[in-house]
Amino acid sequence: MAAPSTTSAPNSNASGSSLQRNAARTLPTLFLAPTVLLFFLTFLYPLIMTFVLSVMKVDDFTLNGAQFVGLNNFQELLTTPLFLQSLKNIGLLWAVGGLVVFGLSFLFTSLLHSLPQGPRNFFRAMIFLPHIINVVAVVTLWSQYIYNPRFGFFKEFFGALGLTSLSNFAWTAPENVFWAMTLAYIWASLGWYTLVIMAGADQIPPELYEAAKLEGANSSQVFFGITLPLLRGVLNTCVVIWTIHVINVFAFVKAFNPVSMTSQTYTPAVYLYELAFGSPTSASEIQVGKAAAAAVMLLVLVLLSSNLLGRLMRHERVEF
Amino acid sequence: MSMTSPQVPAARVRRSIWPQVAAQLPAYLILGAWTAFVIFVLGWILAASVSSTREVFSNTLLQSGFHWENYVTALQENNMGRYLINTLIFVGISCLALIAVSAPAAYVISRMEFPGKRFVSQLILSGLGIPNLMLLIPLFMLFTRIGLTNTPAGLIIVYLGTTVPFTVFFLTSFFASLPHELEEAAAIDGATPAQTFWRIMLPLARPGLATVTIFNFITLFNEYFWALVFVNSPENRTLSIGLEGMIQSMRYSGDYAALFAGINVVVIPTIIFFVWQSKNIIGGVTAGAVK
Repeated sequence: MAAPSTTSAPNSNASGSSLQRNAARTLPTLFLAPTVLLFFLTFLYPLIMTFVLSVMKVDDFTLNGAQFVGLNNFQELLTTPLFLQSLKNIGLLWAVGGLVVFGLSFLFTSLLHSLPQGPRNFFRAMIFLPHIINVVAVVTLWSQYIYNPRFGFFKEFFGALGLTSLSNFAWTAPENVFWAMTLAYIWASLGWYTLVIMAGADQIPPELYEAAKLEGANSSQVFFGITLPLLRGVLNTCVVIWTIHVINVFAFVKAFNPVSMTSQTYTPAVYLYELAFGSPTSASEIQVGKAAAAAVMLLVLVLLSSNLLGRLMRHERVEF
Repeated sequence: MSMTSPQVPAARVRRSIWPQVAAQLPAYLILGAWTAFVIFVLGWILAASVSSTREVFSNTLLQSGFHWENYVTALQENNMGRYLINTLIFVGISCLALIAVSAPAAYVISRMEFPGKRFVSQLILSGLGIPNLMLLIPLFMLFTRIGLTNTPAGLIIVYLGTTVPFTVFFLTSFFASLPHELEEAAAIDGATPAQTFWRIMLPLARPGLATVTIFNFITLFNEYFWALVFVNSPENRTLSIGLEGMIQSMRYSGDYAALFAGINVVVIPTIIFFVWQSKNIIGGVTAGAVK
């Protein structure tokens, strides 16, 4: 703990200046104490405990009969097909969803920049809007309305266009539900990334574009020569945040499959939750230690990927 | 696709407006399609929430006038009214407490020198990158032992703890952007740092406090994970959990119209908030991330 100063000087008979100096030391302690205490309670203690639990066999939340089992939990997890499948699922969501989200964010940014101030702000707000809607509501909107096989938006929209194969497509059938979920997830996430990438692009000095134009650069040269390299820092942040969000995907999947999960829609977060709290469908036993091990693996995944991505994208970073 | 700067002077010189229209056409078409989809879908849900379930199924919304009873079903029979009040209370208390805890911390980090400052601010910042799943099991164990599971207090403590890092981070950069002159004048007049904080910095920081509170409100209002774990009894449930329950019960009742009313109970407050404060919200997102 980095308590700045714990010695409390006597405050009687203190002259004005020493009182002030005294306050300069106690004030940080006083002002930081609640934040630091909360941090210890909700971050530090749980973090350490999760590491401890990950090498134990614990069957309930009271820690009765807990025993040390070394790396057993990790070994078991790495040979559990459902856990591996859940990792594969979020890997796919990360890669495919990420490509679409970042591709569309760049497209929307460039489109927004071609517009005058008024329409630009309006469309930007409309792109962001889905992001502030409750996750459960987003999922309900997509699974119960847009994908609905009887009166859904896609049913009616593609039907009106005469695209019968699309209009009769079973979006939420087990073999398609993963992609249906991915599409809804993209819809809800896109606005945040567009906003941040656009703000990054706004900081690029316009002179650079004018100079490039005078030199006769075409638009793809401008994009790859100026926009992309100068956005590296912002992009780096966005990719790290995308990674953290994808690894944490929980509510989206739970709400999409309110009754039972299929292995196609499992994410590590849902798997972990069911290990710790049990699941309504499968009568699998509660294994708290194994759930903690899964959490540790996810943390390592977050740290590794953000570190790796940071390193990949850091070189040639340009300051402007 | 290039990202041309907003105003290229050369474009303004041209007489004809056609090249400009042609350049903007793709933007209007594509962004217009996105906007039309968002508005149509939300509008449809709104219309469906006051239609009968039969009209929902035949997609002939609003044919028989307004069926406000769907909202009665959602708010009373499905308890969404109770959950709305719960959510507003939990979130309201959390937002106020977040400011009380985070503003002093952010002030000290951004404005004062003391040993261990870098370490403390890095420590708090690290909270932004730790997945909730790492915290879940020990917190649940601890709260079970001290009797905080399934209580509003337990949920509010978790909301505070998990949101404090972002709030401190946001407010630190906001305090850092404020001018130093007033503080220096106050110091010369003999004000203590604590007085300076209360009388000068806090009032100056009002826009930043408002923005971060709007953020925290939306985040916590929409929160699902912690609410699922920490308040599962009917009298303490929040909207997210209540709506999920509605989907489940709807599988037996088939009352789609009430379900869509339920969605609106959850969605309308945040949309009103967004329309009212969109400038602040959008400014806050970009200020936090582009740094």
